[in-house]
Amino acid sequence: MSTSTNKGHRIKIEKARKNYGSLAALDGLSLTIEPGQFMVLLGPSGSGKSTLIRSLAGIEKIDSGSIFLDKQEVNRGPINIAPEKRNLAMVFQDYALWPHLSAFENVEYALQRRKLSKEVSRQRVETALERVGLSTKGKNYPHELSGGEQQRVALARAIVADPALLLFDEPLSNLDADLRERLRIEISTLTREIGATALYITHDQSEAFALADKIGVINRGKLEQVDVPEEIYERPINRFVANFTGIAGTFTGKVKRVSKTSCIVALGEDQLKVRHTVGLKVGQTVDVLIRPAATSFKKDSENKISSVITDVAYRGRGYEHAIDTKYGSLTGVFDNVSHPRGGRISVSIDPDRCIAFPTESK
Amino acid sequence: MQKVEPSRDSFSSRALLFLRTKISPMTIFWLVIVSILVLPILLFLAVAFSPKLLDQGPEWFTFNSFKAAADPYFLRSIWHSFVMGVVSAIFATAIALGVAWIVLRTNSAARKVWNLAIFALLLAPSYLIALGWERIFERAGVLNIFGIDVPFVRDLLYGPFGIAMILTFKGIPFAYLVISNAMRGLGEEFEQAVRVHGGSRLAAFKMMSTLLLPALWSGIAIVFAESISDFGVASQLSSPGRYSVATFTLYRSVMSIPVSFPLCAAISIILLLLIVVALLAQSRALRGRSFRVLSGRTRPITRQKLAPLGSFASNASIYALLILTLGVPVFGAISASMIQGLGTVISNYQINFDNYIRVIKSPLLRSPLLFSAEAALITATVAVILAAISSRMLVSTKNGAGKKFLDFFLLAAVGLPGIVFAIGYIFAYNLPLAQRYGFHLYGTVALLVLAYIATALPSTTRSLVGNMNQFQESLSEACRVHGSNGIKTWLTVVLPLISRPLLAAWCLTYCGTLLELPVSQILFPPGHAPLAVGIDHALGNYDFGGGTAMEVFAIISALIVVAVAFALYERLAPVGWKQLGRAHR
Amino acid sequence: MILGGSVAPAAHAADALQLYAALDYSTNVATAFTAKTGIPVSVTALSTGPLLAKITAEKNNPQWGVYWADGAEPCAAFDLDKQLLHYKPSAHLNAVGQKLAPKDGAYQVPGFTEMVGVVYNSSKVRKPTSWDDLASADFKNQVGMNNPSISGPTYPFLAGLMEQLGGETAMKTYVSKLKDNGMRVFDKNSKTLAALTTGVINVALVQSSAGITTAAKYKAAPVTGLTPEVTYLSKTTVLPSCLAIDGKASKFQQDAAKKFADFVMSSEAVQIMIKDNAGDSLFWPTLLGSKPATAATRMPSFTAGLIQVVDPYKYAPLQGAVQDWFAKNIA
Repeated sequence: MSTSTNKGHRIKIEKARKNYGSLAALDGLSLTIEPGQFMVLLGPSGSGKSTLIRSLAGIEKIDSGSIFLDKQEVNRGPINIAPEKRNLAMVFQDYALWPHLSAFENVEYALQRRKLSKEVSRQRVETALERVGLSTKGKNYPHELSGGEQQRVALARAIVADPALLLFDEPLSNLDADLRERLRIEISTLTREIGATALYITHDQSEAFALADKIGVINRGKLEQVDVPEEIYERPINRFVANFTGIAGTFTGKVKRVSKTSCIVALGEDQLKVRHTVGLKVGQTVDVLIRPAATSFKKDSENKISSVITDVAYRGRGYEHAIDTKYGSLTGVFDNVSHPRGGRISVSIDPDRCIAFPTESK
Repeated sequence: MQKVEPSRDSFSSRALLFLRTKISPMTIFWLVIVSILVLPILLFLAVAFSPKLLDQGPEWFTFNSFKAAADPYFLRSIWHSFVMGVVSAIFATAIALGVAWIVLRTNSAARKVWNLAIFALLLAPSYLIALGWERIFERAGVLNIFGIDVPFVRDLLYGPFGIAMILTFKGIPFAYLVISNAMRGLGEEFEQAVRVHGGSRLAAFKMMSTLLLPALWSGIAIVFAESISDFGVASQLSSPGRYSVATFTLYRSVMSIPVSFPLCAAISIILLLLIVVALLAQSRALRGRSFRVLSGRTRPITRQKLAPLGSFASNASIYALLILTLGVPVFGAISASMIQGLGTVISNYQINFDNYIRVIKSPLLRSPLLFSAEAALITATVAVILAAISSRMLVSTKNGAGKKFLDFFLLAAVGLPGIVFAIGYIFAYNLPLAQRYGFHLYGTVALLVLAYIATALPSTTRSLVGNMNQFQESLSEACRVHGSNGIKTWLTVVLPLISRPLLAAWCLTYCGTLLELPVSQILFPPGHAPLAVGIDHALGNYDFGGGTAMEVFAIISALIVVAVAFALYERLAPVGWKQLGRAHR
Repeated sequence: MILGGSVAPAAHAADALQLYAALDYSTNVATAFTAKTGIPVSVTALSTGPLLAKITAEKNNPQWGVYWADGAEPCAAFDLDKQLLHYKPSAHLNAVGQKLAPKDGAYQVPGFTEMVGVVYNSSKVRKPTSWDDLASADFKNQVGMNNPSISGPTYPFLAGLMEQLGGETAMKTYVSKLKDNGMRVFDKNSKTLAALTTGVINVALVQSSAGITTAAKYKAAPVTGLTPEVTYLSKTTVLPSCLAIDGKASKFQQDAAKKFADFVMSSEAVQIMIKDNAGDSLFWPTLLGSKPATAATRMPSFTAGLIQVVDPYKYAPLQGAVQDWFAKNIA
C-alpha cells in the first residue's frame, strides 16, 4: 500500500435537502471536504449525519441539492450514480460482514473491482488483514469472531482496494471502551496512510476530537460550525455546539460588565469572569457553559466558588470529582489527590474556558 | 488508483443518469409480472362487469353477475369458505409452529423423519387425503370390515369438521416451510435474554413466537388463501347441499353447460375481497415493527436437550401428526390402487401390484410424466428467481405503490382457483389483437409453462418472505459501496444467504407443477398432455386403480428429484452457505 | 421436448383441422382421417366440461373447427346462438339416426348411448323395475347418480325425465323423492361407479357404456359380493354423440371439417370407433347398415320401445336453471 497523500476525492455538498414526511433530515446543508482530509460529523441521533453519509455513499437519495465527487456530480436531487461507481468504501455500525464468507473472503470481495491477478489479490488481502492484526483469522467466519475482530475485518475490507473516499458510520459505538481507543487509532493511521478522503460520523465528542482534521457539528439537518477541533472547542459559535462538545455544568446569572471578549456575570453572592463569543448586553440573563478543563481546586484564581463534593471517581491518573454549588453542579473536576465525599471545598474556574450565552426562553 | 473523469456535457450526462435509473432489471421484472400474472387475472375479473368485452354476454357494463352472485346460496358458500379458511389457517400455523420448534430447537429424534416426510406431505393432493379418510369411515370402509360402524363420526367427516381438518392437514406443510425458514435465521439470544431476566421456558417460547410474527402471519395468509381456493377436499367430502364452499360453486359455474364466466368472475371478486381482509389483518399485525435479525452476528443455535418425558411427548406428537396427515392418504392410495373391491367383501380382497405393472408400461404415463417433469424443472427454476425478487420487494421498507400492488396480486393468485387462472390466460392470450401483432403464444407449450410459473409464483414468494424479512439491508449496502452492482450483489450475497430456502422453494414448485391439473387441462397444446391430464384420463376411463397407481408413481418420481436436488446441494454448495442457520450438531 | 416445441403452436390453425373431442376414439379416427386425406388433425381431448369451458372462453377468437362429444344440448345451444355451420353429409342414416340428427344439418349424430343404464349389485339388491321402484323402501340409501353440473351426459337424463313425467315440476318432484330416499350424488360416471364397487351404494345411475364396461370387468374377474349388472327402465333416454362444425372458423377449417364429418359417417370410421369394445366404443351407430360393438348389443334398441328421444332445442334453454336447482337441492 502506498503512502502518498492527497489521492482522495474532493467532496462538495451543495444545499442538500431531504425530508422524511414532514421531518427535515437534511435542511439545505452545504459542506466541502478537501482531498485527503479527515472530516468528522458530530451530532446527536436524528441530526441527519447518517442520512448525509448514506447519500454520499449512494445508498440513499436526497430530494434536492447536489453532491460532487471531484468534478463529477454524483447526486442531483433524486438522481444518483450507483454506489459501485463512486470508488469508495464504507465501514458500517453493525460491521455488515457477509456471514457466508470467511474473513479472508470478506476482504477479498472488496478487491474484485480492481480486477487484479489472483496472486496479487491474495497478497493485498493478507497485507490488509495483517495490518489490522488478524493475519491468523483469515479462515474464520464472522460468527466465530468477536465484535472487535469483526470490525477490524470490516476495516481491512474498506482499505484493501485503496478507495478515494472512506466512509465511517459510527463504527465504534458497538465496541467496549479499550477496544474503541485501539481501533480508533487504527482507523486514524490507516486512513492517513492510504491518503483517502474520509468522512466519519459519530455522536461521541472525544472520538471526534481525537480523529478529526476538521469537525462539522450538525444539528437537525444543518451544520452549526465547521472548523478545526481546537476552534470548535475554544470558540464554539453557539450554545448547541458548546453544549455538545463537552460541558461540566451550566450556571445562570446576569451580565454586570461587558468588554470585547469577556464579561462579568453575577451569580447571586458570587461573580465570574467569563468569555463570550456572541455580543452581550449589561443586565442580560445569560447561561455560563463551563468546560471540564476549566475546573480545578487551585487556590489562586480569579473565579472561586464554594462547593460540596458529591462523588469521587478514580481515573488512574488521578481523581475526578463531582461537586454541588449554590448555582448548579459540576462534573469532571480533576485533582491528583482525592477529596472526600461531603467535604467543603472551593472550586476555581478558568475564565478562558467558560463561555456565556444568552439564556434561551423556554 | 482510479481517477474519476470530469463530467461531460450536462445534458447527456443527465440523460445517462436518467436511463440508468429507469430502464433497469426491475423494469423487466415488472413487465414479466404484468404479462404473466396481472393481465390474465384482470381480464378475467373484468368480465364480471363487462361481459361483452370478451364476447361473454351482451352488456358492456352491468352489475347483473353480482346480483346473481348475491344469491343467498352463493353467499352462504362464500361464508363457509371464509370460515374454513380461517379455522384451517390458524390451526395449521399453530401446529406448524410447535412442530418447527421441536424439529429445529430440540434434539427430538423424530425430527429426521419429519424432514423427510415434509415433501411427501406437500405432494399429497388434497383429494387423496380426503379419499384416505373416506376409505376408513365410509359405509363399507375399513372400520366396517372390522365390524365398527360409526355414523356419528362419518357425519362429522362429511361436514365442516372433516373439511376443516383436512384443509388444516394440507396447510401444515406450507405454514411449516415459512416458519421453519424464519426460525432457522433467528438466533437464540432473544430467548436467552428472556431466560436471564427471569422468564420461563414458556415465556422464551412466546418471545420467539413474537419475533416470528411476520412468518406466522405469512403462514396464516398462505394457508387461508390455499384453503379457500382448494377444490379437491370440497369435491370429495362435501356436496353443495350439505356444506358448500365457494370453490365448488365456482368450479360448478365454470363446468356448467352453458358456462357463465361473468358469474364466475363475480364470485371470484367476492373471494378476492376475503383475501384483502387477510392481507389487511396481516399488515395491521406487523405494522412498524422491526424483525430484521439475520446478520453476520447470528450464531448457530444449540439444540435444547429434552427431558425424557418431554422427549417422549414431542416424538409422539410428531409421529401422531405424520400418521394423521401422511399415513391416511398413503392408505388411501394403497387401498385405491392395490386392493380390489375393498369394502365389499368380508374376506377375499386381493392386494396386488397389477395396476402398477400395467401402468408402468402405459404410454398414458411415460410421455406425460417426462413432459411434465421437463416443464416442472423449467417452471421451478424461473419461478424461484422471480419469487426471490418479489419477496425482496415485499419486505422493503420503502412503502411504494409497487409493493402493495405486488402483494395483492400475489395473494389474489393463490386465492383464485387454478381453473379461473387458466380461463384468464385464454382471455389474455387468445385476443385477436395479440395474434394480429404476431403474438402467437396461445396454444403453445411456452404459454403453458408461463401459466405454471404464474400459478407457482405466489406461494413460492410467500414462502421466501420470512427469510427476506430477516435479511439486514446493510449486507447488500456493503456490497454496493465496495464495488458490486445490483446483479452481482444478488448473485454473490443475497442468493447464497437464502440458498437453503431457495432450494426448498424450488422443490416445492417442482412438485406442485408436476401434478398440476386445472391449468394443464385448459391450456395444454394438443399432443402434449401433461401428467395430471393423463392421470385424469385414466381415472375418467373408470380405471381408478390404474389412475391412482400413476399418481403414486408420479409422487415417487418427484420425491426422487427432491432427494437428488438436496444431495447435490450438500455436495456442491460452499461450506459458508450450508452453515447458515445450522444448529451445533 | 419442451425446448423443441416451445414457441411454435403444436399445429398452427392455418395448417390443421382443430378437433375438440370428448370421446376416446377420436384420436384414432383423426389419425385414420389424416392417413386417408392427408389433412393433419390437431386433437384437443378433454372431458365435456373443460372442453366447453375452453370453447366459451375462446369465444372472441374461436380456435375450434369441430366439436365432438356426447350430448346434444350443447350443440343445440351453439346453434341457437348461431355459431354452427350447417352441413348434411351424404351418408344414409338408420331410423334412430334420422330421428336424432337435425333436419337442417346443424350437427351430425354418428351414434348414441343411453342415459341411464341402471347398474345394480345383484349380490346385495334385487333388480329395480321402474323409476318409482327406485324411490321405494327397498332401495333406501342405495342409489347414486351423477351431478349434471359436472357430468356432461347427465342433464339429458333429467331432460328425459321431464319429457316422460310431463314437465319440469314433475321431474323435480321425482328427483326430490329419490333424494329423500337417501340418494347420493357423485361427480361423474367414474366416481359413481367407484362408489358402487366399493359398496358405498348398490345402484348406480350412469351412462350405459360406462355401466356395461364395469359389469363386463367384474364378470371377467369376479369378486365375492360384487356382481354388477345392467338393466334399463322405461323409459330410457337416448344420448346422442354429436359432431358440430364452427360457423366462424376459417374456410380451410370448414372445408376440412366437412370432409371429417363425411369420414366419421362412414363404415370405415365406425369400425375404428367400435374397435375397443369397451368404454366409449359401446354405442349404437346411426349409419345405415352398421352394427355396434359386440358388447354393446346388450343395450335395448330403439325398436324395443323402451327408449325415448328428447328435443335438445326444447331442453337446452332450461339447462342452466335445472342444474342450479339440482345443485342447491339435491347434490
